[in-house]
Amino acid sequence: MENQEEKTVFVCGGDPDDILTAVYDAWASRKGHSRVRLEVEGESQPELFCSYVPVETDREKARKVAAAVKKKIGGRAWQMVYRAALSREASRAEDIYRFLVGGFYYGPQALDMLAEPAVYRLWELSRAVGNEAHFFREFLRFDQRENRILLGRIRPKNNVLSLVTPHFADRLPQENFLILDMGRGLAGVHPAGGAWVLARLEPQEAEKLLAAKADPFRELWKTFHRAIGVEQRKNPRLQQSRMPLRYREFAEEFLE
Amino acid sequence: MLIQENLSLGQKLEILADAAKYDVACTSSGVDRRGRKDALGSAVSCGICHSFAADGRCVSLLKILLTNECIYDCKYCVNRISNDTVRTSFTPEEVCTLTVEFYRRNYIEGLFLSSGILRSPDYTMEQMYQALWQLREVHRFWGYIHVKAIPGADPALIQRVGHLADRMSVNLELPTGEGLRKLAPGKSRGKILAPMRQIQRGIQDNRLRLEEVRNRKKIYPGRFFPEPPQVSAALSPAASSSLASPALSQSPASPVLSPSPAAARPLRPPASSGALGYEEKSQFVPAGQSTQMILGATGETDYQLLAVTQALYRNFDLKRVFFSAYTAINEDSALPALGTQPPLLREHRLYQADWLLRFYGFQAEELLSEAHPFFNEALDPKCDWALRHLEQFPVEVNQADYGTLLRVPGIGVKSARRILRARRSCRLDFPDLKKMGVVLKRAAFFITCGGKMRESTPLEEAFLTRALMAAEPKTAKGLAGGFRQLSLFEDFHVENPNPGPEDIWKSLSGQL
Ligand code: SF4
Repeated sequence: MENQEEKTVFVCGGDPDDILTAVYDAWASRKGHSRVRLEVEGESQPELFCSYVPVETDREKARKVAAAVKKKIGGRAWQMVYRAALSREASRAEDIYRFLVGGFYYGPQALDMLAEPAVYRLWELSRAVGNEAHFFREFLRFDQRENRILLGRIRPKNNVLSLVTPHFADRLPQENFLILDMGRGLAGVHPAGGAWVLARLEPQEAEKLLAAKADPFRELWKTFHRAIGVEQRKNPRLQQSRMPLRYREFAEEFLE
Repeated sequence: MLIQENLSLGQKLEILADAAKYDVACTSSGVDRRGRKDALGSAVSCGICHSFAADGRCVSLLKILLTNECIYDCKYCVNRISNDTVRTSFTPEEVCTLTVEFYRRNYIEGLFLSSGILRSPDYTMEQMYQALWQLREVHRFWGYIHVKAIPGADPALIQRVGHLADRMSVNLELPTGEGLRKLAPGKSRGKILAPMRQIQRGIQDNRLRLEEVRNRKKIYPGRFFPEPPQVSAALSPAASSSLASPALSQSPASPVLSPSPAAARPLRPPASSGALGYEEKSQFVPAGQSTQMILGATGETDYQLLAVTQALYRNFDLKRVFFSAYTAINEDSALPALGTQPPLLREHRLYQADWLLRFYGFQAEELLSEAHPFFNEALDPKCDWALRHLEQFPVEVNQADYGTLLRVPGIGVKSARRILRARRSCRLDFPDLKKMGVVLKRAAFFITCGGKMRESTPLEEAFLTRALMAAEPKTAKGLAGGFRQLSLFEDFHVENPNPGPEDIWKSLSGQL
């Protein structure tokens, strides 16, 4: 017999589609919001007195959840949910679910209820992801390889590649470029004149594909970067607080 | 003047970036422009920084002079004619090459082109027009351009440059006419304000643009028209970067390696085939106008500077007024001695006050007066104001209107808006305010939640001054240490009124 106190844990993969499918399944299970929990596989410790249900990712279910969020809570909420799903926080699936419980109840005004822990939490996750994506739009450097192909490398904490790549696809429509998430072995690939795609690609593979090449503009950029600072205002602490070291790994102007 | 021939592109860049670095504005904000399939670039209205220089300032644009030659002798300027420095100029092609190649690599958000006065204001402005026109039409550059309007240049030229640029600026340089007379013999208040007024009108009259374009040919038959775009397959970006084609050295990159023939070519009307028609189609200065004033070269008070700033916003619709703490680079009896440190703390306070004017509904006269003409260096201007107006506090967070909330130290534009929205569904208490981004260590002294103060602190000036100074440890330390450099934002946090990412994302790691 099923224990009334027992929680059902829906265990899903870590990407947005996986998480949204889990939301769908947990909701559709009708077990009651307080008796379900969502977990990203491999990112939490198992607990006693829980029954674990693996979630099989279904894009159709994910799409339905996305459409419902947009319709009932609004575009901004959907953007926040999507970003939160890209977060590196282990609790992200559960956090999204808790937000949606209130979100579907209150509608668009839920976003203003920052005093609610569930709202605040979603807001925090989404903000962290949005911020990091913005940093990489700024600090990413493309390295020109053979045949003028541009290679950008990033090592983000959150899975921001799908937020970063479209910015460059819009901006550099006639360039062949590739943005590598060095830690996840993912790449945003954009062929000149075409649409971008996400692909699995390990850094070593990318290096083999795109041979490194001398590039006079790298030196010119360093020259410029050096010349543009005012000696009498020199302030490395300020420079570092605005451009933390972890964004400099591939920034030419800080190398050597 | 030492004019150096045959410099490499790198040497020129070193000289012409170095000579441009005292210009403070490097923002790329004010205009949103999606990319287009057949062009290079886009613009994001919040602005994007791409790096930070050794002085901690944002590097957003390729900030260069077209030339550092100059016929004038402004005392505060490195490029003044009486300085014995190496002079050089970029060709328009070189400007284009650097901009495009830097942009492709995501080093920059666009171009900031300024210049010394070569031969005459008209000649200089025309050179700048050439560079911009080539960048837009030959290289199909769709990114951000900020260009200086040269005082004294033909208004028709300024008009045309304004249709190629996103932002234009004319530097006011010094807040008073007297300061200008003393330090900038070639300039006058009138000469500077004329193009500023013209740009303001141009922005207001964007509607009438089409008509002007139609009339243009009558006004300038054959003048100012640059080389037609060489719309060959090799130059069009579409062909130049195909994965399949290794023959890519024919791209716009080539001039850097083999400089193309000099700029002196017959001026002809542009061929229309394949051109973006940028100048014809774009609005005039869509990202608005800015200016800058030098701070500390002459004896102006903060009050004078702030009053002029306010007048510029009101009467000239400026987007931004920048302040540049004077860096003592020239030996001159009329100037602070060499080795004098730039007044960075004053600059910092003026920027804070500038935010208060633009976003917080403050007036210059509320912050300073003839009797009280300088900012308190130990406290930010808003705290300083609050301390002088204790009768207006405490404020009840669950009831106060937006304008009143904005005047509370520690509450910024975003947090005030969040408070208004959140209190519709519940009564707010102190811990909630923290989530809204309120800086409680300052705000707590000035507010009540449900009628209660957080601690029973007296609304008493001496006590609060001490408490607020303690809440600004970095600023206080900066004062004690004399010249430790301050960032505008490092201790400003949410009090930043509605800053775009260019101001806040990078300085606060996203603390909204
Ligand atoms: S006009 Fe004056 S400020 Fe401008 S470059 Fe020449 S000397 Fe410098």
